[in-house]
Amino acid sequence: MIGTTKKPPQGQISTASMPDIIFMLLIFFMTSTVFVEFRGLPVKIPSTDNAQKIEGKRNLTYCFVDTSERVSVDDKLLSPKEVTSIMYLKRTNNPRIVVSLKIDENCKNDIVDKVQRALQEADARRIVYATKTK
Amino acid sequence: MLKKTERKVGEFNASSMADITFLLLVFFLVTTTVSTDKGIKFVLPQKADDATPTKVKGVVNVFLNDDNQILLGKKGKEEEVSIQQIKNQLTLLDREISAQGDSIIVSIKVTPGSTYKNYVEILDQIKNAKIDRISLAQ
Repeated sequence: MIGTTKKPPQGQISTASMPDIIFMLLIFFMTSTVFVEFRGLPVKIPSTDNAQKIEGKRNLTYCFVDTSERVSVDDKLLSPKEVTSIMYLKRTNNPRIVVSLKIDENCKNDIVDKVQRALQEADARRIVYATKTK
Repeated sequence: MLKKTERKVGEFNASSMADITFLLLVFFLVTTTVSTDKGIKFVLPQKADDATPTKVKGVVNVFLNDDNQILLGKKGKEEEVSIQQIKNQLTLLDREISAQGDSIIVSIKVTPGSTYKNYVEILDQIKNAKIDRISLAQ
């Protein structure tokens, strides 16, 4: 009949699968998240054009070196000799280890060389010079 | 007569649970910052005792001294360059060495008093020149 208004169909979206989706998302983030286990040292890393993204966070170990030539691995201040022993242990636990060197840009290459030699001693030779993109 | 009183079974309305979980999930998704690691990949040479002296052709030396001056060139023909010039110089040398049928190897030697920033910038310029064969002289 003319004049009568048609009511829109009242469709309902089933929300029964909502918890499943949420759980799936939750499990995804739980498995893919890697927590930071250290605080490191305050360093200003250099900027470069060729800063590549580093894949495989689980194989990464961080080594901080600040301007006062302090070396820190896993929040422990170490001497280069101690770096060798700790990195050797880490490498035996995970042969695919990659050491990310977070060195302050104002550091002298003397300490960089000492750390690199310590890593060579431990045969942890795959390294990354941590940099920012320019 | 004793009348058995019916115990009321309490019910918990769980229909809002999904909303709460979703809200929490969205909150963490928004507030979490993903830290991306970036840097220049490098494989250190073997220990100096094991390292064999290389007698290969196509070696280009890059020296960085305590005053952060850079010398670049083939053995005995090194010239002072600025950081910005490294890429062009290396590209030229790469072409020259390739024409002779060899492939370029860049050997970096830095003095202990030089700055790490300059060392990384040299590495960056070498990567800019699309050269992957880098050796660290000790």
